[in-house]
Amino acid sequence: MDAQSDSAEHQRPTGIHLDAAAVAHPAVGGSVAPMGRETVFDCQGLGVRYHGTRALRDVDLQIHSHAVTALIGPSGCGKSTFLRCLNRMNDLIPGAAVDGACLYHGENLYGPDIDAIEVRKRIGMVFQKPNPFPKSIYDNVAFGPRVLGMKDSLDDRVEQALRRAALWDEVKDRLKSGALGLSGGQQQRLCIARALAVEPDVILMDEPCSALDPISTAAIEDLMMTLKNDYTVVIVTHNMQQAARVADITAFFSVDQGETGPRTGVLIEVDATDRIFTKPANERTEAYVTGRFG
Amino acid sequence: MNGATRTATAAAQRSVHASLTGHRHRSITATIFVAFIMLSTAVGLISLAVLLFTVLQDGLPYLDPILFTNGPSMDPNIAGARPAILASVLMAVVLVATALPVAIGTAVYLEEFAPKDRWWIRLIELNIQNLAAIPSIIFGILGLAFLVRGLGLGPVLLAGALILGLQMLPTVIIATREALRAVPATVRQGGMALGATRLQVVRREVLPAAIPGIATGSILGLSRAIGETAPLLMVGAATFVSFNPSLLSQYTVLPILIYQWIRLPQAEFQGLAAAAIIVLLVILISMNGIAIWMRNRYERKW
Amino acid sequence: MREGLQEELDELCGGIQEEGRLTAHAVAEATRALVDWSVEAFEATLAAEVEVTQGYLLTEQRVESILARQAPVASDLRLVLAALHINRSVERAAHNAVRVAHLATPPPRRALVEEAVITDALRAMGERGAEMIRTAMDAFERRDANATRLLSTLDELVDRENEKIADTILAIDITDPELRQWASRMLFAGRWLERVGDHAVNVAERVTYLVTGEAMGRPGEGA
Repeated sequence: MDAQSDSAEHQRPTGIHLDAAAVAHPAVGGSVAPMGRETVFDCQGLGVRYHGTRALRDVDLQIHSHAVTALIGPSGCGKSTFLRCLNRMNDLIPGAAVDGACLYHGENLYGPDIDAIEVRKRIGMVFQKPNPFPKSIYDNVAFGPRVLGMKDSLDDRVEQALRRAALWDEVKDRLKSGALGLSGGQQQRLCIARALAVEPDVILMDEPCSALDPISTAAIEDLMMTLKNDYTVVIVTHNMQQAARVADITAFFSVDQGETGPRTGVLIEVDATDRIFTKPANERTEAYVTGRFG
Repeated sequence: MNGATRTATAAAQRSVHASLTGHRHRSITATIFVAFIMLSTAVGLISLAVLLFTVLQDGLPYLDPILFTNGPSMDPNIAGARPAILASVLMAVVLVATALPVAIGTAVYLEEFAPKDRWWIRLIELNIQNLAAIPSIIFGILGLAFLVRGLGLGPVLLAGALILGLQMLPTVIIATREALRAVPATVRQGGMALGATRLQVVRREVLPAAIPGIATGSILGLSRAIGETAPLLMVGAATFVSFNPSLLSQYTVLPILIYQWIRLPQAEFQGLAAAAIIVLLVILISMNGIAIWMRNRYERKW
Repeated sequence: MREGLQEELDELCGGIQEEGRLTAHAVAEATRALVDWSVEAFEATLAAEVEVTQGYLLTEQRVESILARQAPVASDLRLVLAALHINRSVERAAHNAVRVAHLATPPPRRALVEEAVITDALRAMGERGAEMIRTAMDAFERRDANATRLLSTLDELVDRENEKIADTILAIDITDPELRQWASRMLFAGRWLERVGDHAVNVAERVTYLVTGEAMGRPGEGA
């Protein structure tokens, strides 16, 4: 990946836009990789170790543009670890080591010349607990563009990001007031707006609704459905129903208990969400989604 | 509802009532404990009140303009504390300019950038903890040996300020690290996830968020240094200085002047010492006040 | 809120409405094929039924997906359950239309008066059946709980036409094999057209359940 200093010229890869019905019902097509969506991530034998202890192994998974991909599974199955591989946030955890390949538009994110900072500019992330900076609403959204040097028409950029995050109407009259004064749900949408402001290609969400009430959760879920029209969205959720509601593709991770070794996360099955929740191919998936395990 | 059922229901209600109203009389241990902690608080408050009262009673009559305009004299009627007050203020300025940046810089490095699992980092951390526990007189001896004699600075204000700064370092470093640690890790992650570098995240998010804590710690450390006597005695703060101090001149500071006056036989000097104590107290209390004000101001804003 | 679910429910209802429209068309065409011996109407009936069957399968898949993914509750849940039933009734009605179309035979012209009575009754039943399907689907569209009563009344009229057919057939000379064959076909046609009316009533009943939450004859529920 070339280090693109002029981010204003940063081009989002343009996928072919499907009609709404086809996007909403990938299962009707019956294919995991519907036509017209390009492969954004192609993980090949991806694994993670923490201080030498294997936490995740051999994940082969493709993630496609203009779709919501959900990662589900029991605690400790490595779904969050996997998500953090996609924008190299694992680099920040001392002792974490990634093996295998994670191709992003064909380029290995863990290749020798790749700059993690550049990766994170293109692949935004939203966290479990809303984490706005202790600043004004405006400054929160403007943070990314400012540090990346996208200073032209900052006001427009902030407004666009807030609009896309469906927050503009609620905050347009108090952009200069503190972000911590917003409700939890608004804070999380602010964090989404903050991620959108740097014009990423992908939005990763790590259990984005687990700290929110049902109404705010519904608002964020609606937002995910809208965002997939312009972005590739990957979410980790411990709430199976949420995956069922919002995701086009669902990947089920689980834990392999070695005889002597530690518990290791593995990818069990990935398929169109309809299939995962109606006729999963793997019996472990069946046991998990029916609530008989985990 | 028949009679038996009604009786049973009433009994159940009584038992619920009994369990909810509980035991009015708590155990005797609890009473003793509350009495003990209230007494402890009272000891501190009463001593402080007595101290303040005595100082004010002795010192207020001597709190006049002469105290601020005149230099020291053996005649209590014209003796003042001007050089000592000025030296204390100058010392505070030097401390702010030298010790604070070093301390905050150290804390930021240790907290945000240092590889935490390296043995030498842990050694440094251990030593900082230890430094905070070293008696101030030891710092004085170090200053005498290293700055005054070793570097040949002589018994000047700069040497005193540097040694006070050194003594202040661990306090401010520890306070700043606490303040940085209080900034949630999610703020750093949020910044990094947007493609900011670690330096950008620290400079734009972490440090501003930690400012109230850092300011509080710094001012508390500073006020402790301003009230310090022992190390300055070691590095040769003079007791009788009648000229305005500069960085490289001889000097005295308020605590030392107070110490000197109290030792003099005349009763008037006792009063003057009390007045100087009032001045010192006002300075320290205003510095602490600023610390509290800053903390509240930032907390209210967010 | 929950735009995803709302979108899917709208799609579900839209699909069923289309099935209903095609079914009403199929019933009308089948009647035309039956009494006017129109080949074109016969083929139109079959084509419409094929489409209805496809719609039926798609609706079933949508219901499956909504139940699996959206966990609908309250009125959403009633809508999905009602949709499942309505889907089935509409598909059955379309299937009946095909059976009717297959029974089309010109009358042998041996008992002109009776033949005319029977043909008119069948035409009336078919037209009414198609109309009833449209009314029921309209009630579903408008969430009109009161359509059940209207449709039950209409269904009685259909039943009466059917009885009239049976009575008329009893009155004619059955010894004539050609006439007998024709009459028995018309008897069956009447029977299938009568079932169309029943399906329309079923649809309306499900709409009442959808709106009020009360299903007729359910144990443990008031009256």
